[in-house]
Amino acid sequence: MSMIREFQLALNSLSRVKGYSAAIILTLGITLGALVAIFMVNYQLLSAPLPYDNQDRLFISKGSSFRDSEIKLSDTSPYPALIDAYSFKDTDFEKKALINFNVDVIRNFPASPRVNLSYITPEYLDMIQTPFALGRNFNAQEGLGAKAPVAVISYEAWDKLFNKRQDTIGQTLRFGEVNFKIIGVTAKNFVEPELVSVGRLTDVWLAWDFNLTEEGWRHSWGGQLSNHHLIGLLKPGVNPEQVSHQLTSRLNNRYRQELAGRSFFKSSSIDFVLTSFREKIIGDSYQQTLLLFTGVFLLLMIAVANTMNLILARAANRQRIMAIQAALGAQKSDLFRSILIEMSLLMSATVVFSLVFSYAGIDLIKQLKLDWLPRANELSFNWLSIVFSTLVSGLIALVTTILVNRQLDYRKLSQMMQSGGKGTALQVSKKVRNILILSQVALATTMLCVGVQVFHQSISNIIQPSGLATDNVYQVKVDIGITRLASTKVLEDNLRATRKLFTENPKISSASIAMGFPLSASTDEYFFSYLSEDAEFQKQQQGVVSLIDENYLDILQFELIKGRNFTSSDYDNVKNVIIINQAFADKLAPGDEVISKRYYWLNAPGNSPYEVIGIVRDLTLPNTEELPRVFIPYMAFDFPEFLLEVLPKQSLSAIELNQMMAKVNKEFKVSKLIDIKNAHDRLVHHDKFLASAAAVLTLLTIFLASVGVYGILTYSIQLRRSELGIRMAIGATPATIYIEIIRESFITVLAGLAAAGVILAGLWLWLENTSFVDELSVWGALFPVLLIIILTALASLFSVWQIISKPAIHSLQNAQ
Amino acid sequence: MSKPILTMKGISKVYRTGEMDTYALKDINLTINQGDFISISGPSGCGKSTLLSLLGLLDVPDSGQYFIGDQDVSNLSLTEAAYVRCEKLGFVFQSFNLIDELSLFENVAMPLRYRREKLSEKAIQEKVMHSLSTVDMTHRSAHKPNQLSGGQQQRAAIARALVGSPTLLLIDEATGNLDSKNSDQVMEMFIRLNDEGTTLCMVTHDTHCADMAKRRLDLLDGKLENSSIVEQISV
Repeated sequence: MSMIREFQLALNSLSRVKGYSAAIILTLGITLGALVAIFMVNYQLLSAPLPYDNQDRLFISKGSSFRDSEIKLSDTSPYPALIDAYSFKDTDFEKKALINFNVDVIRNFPASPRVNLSYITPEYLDMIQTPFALGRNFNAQEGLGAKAPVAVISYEAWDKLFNKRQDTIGQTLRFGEVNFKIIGVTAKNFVEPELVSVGRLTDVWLAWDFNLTEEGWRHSWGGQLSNHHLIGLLKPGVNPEQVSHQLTSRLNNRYRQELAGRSFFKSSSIDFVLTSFREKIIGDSYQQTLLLFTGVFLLLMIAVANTMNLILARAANRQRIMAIQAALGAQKSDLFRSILIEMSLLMSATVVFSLVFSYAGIDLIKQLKLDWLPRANELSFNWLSIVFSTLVSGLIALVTTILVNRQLDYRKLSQMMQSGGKGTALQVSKKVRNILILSQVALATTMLCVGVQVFHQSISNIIQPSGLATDNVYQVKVDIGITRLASTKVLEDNLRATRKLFTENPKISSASIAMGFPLSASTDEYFFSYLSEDAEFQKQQQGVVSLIDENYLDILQFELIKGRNFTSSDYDNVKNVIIINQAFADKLAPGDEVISKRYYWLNAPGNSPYEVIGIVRDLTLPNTEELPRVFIPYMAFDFPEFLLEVLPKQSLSAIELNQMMAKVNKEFKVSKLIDIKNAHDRLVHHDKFLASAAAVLTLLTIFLASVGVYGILTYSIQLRRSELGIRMAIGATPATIYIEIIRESFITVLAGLAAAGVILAGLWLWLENTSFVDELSVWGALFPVLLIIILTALASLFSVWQIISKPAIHSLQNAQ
Repeated sequence: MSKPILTMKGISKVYRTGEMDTYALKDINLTINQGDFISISGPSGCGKSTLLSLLGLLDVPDSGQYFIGDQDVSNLSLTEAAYVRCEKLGFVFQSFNLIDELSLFENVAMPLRYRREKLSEKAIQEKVMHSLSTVDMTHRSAHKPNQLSGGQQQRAAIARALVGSPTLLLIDEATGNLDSKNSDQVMEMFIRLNDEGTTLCMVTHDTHCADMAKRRLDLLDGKLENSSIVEQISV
């Protein structure tokens, strides 16, 4: 028979069992589709090259500072060290560049939009082969020290700011007091490396010279700056570790020379490590995607076990046809081929279905813009998705066919026709059935345990009260423009007048001038400083500083657990008083009363110590350990912020705030307006994704496991129908039969639970080294076990119901 | 006159196929007395097995009344019917219906284990061995059914039917799967059991076997046609 004819026959045969075909295509298609989507994510993170030539030679610097060999600040560098590293003529680098990431508002646009900036030297965009839609890159004449006010904008910024106008080249963007002339627009297909954080993309690239680092810091070897880096394209064959070592050695010598004689830096040092772009971008995010892959793979295995059961049941039903084929001379290999052809047809449909599902899945992952998933914007559905899906499907088809073939007794099959079709050549043995149930239970329990643990942990994070008011509160970051050149007295008066203006607005119930908000998106935004009992800072303790007025703690509803809040007099007279949180109190005076104690503040405007007048309860922010915090009644002049509490159901816009502030000072512009509720929600964004993913996986697992266990038990009970009929005929009650079925199922189920225990123990050994599971909940372990037991009890009941719900004769007729 | 242990009044059983009703049994009136040995015979499809199923509470009638002793068993729940089967009735099937995975001992012990009032293991042991000795099979108690001949399997099945000292032993074509020698041995065993006081009701299409009973009933098209000894069996 020709192959085409065999395919036609298989197709006809399958079209007669539409339910069977649909069940296999749907369960395998959905699970395989999910696996393909997660596989593509993992491929993107673990294997796919970055879209730059020489991507394996691209490195970014990561500086650290040490005191007494203990790391003090990570991912920071002194500004002059970076300039030195960039300017030094060495033979290891093919190209070097400097980069500084920042944000600012465009002051010549009416809405003063806030944009992501990268200050760079001209080599950077060359190194990553940046394509241009319009104009050009910076040239050598616009490099370090040239002070060339030119800008390159991204394709997205071009669209957003200029609506893709062709005359954009030559237009200007004003940042601070400088007008930058646009010289280029990057192409749509340009993929910027996410070197700061996931999803952080640059809107505007400006010449390095204009970065916002204050003049004092530019010459300070003692200052450590984050978000300033050296980018290097190493020459082929150069060892990055060796270059890091040489850089560290040379810059450290210079660091010690420059800071010699300053006691604070006596035991300090710096190091300078080159990190590959890949490592910097990917980080440890692949651990989460690998865990997801494992989860979905287990789900697929459950679906495969279900499919195996369906295929075995169908093969058992088709054995008469196979017996006729055998009687007419079909060899075992012919029967194998015919089963394989049928499986191939089913798997082909499964591949198509899974690809449609994975296409939607990949699109969904891109839409979600997960803040922990780098390179999501590069994800695509491509030939690799098709190859992976086809390979996995092919493997499933082959394995299931081999397993079915192994269950087939060809000798008995050949004899069946001689004995008038009596007997059986394919009866799935009790051992195989038990293995199927055991594997279902083991895989399902593992999935459920992991899913429930993740769900429980994520939900706990989501619903945990933070100890902070998040409703009806806005944080307003203000860009003060050229007012920073005015005297502090003018600035202070302007800020107080603005606060007064805000409180007079009918929408706003309270306003505070502050700097340092507890829900900052990254620790880079925190102002870290030191408090110390002694003026020499020998006993210094690090904490996060918030410069606030008397309204701040009330607006955010910090709970004062000891002492008192600031008064307007404390703030107006800049008194040397501080409020700290419990975490800082524990650090400063473990076990001791800290109220009324006095501490020196490293950045204090004078030399007097500050008295602790109050302690606030620690915040319980999701996924973050509470930092030591100190609140100081002081006005932040350069980067002021306002906290505004609005009346219920009121909202604020940047435009109306700009209009209000313009009445005091036209230079004041909103640089960032944050709804605190949204800021808090962002902190649990990851937890929400994890909770949703865990819920979906758990429900799918419950569904697949229920269907699977029910299918196998139903098949087993069908095989035992006559035996059960005999038992009923001689006096077994329906309840007795049910209990007997449960008892037998539970032996296998218990073995499956034990196997799950072993898998979970192995998984735990891996997971305890990751950040996924903070703590294990007892319910998270007990719930899946209880659920599996209930599922088995229900599956047993439904499977045996057809027998025990009818008079014994119905089952006994099978035995006669 | 012997005491009636089983009475059927106007029992009918209908099988419905689509809109068509087929009477398997129609208006059956039957009384079986203590110590009877009745054979019910008739051609294939006459309703013999259906009648035996109703007698054995394996199935439920569509109409009529059925008493075992004084208890109305016409509309028992499946659980109650199971207990009555277990405690008052014994079955011998044509195809023996022993459970292959269990030893003869466990096969015979099964009805005792299903009883409402649980027996001690010692009591079960005694009853099973006694029952096996009745059919001369004690030496095979540890064997599995597939290690025995057909005749031996049927004797083991009879031991299982007898183990609970049933009020009535129901026999369905007990010799149908046996050769003539084994058939004769089994029939002799039934006669002996009846002589010892066991009440038997046997369904068979074999006239030779039917004639070995004390009373013979003929079933035709779902109706009991006649009785060879009408004065003892009311029809």
